[in-house]
Amino acid sequence: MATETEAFLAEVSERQRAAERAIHRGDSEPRMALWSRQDPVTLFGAHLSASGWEAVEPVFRQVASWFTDTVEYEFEVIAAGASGDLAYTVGYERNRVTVEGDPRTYTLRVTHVYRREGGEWRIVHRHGDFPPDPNAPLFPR
Amino acid sequence: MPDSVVTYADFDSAVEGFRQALRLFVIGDHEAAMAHFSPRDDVTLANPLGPPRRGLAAVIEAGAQAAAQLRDGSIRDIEEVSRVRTPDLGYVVQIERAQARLGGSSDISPIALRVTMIFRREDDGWKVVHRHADPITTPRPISTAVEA
Repeated sequence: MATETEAFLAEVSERQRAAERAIHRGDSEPRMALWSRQDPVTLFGAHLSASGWEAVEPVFRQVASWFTDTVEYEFEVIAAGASGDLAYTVGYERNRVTVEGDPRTYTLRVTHVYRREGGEWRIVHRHGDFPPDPNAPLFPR
Repeated sequence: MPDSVVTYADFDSAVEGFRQALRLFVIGDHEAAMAHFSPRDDVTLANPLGPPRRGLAAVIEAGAQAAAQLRDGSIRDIEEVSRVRTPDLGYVVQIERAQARLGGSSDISPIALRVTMIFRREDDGWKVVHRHADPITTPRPISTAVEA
């Protein structure tokens, strides 16, 4: 399955990086272009969650509104798989951005699921969160 | 390697099998849940307690450390948000609500996790190749958001 996965990554990775750099500059359009409109479409974001494109789309616009500039966005894939018309990636997103006027540097751990629709890979699920702090309380409420 | 290995001929059985294994996980027994993970090098676990782990040995170690913090737990509810299967790959997105005594506490605490799980059909059946779970910390109930 390595070849299938490599082909998937070659097709998607740079497009996804470009879309993420754009949303961190305040432009949600490239990310929205990369996402499927067909349910199930789900978002477990670092701050907001939504299910169904009708709910996801306004969240993306809201997220974009937080950012005005990006100094650096890196997407490091630590595992990926593709089979037929379904694929996934697991990785880190490293951001140096401007959030509501303030410079911020942070890392997210992210899982994405992709579906091939009409020959083109689209994102159907994103799960992103801040890597746990080992010193933080166990299972904060 | 885990002490026991479970095999499932179909995706749905593997999803259900893992959910049943969670009932043991929250009383402190990680082995049944860990037996669902793929032995292949690319298996990953991003759990609520530490950085993502890659490889079965690291995944089992992280699972054991997490279960060791749990006592007298029970699963309250698993709310499935979506489930998709293809011949060799499938995933499920769900909210897991449980309760347990955490880290030696005498009190039962509620636990609510957002979970993404990827399953793959391998030589000996369907295996978990990735689990991403994080606690719901937003003040708004997640069900409100996902049902919007």
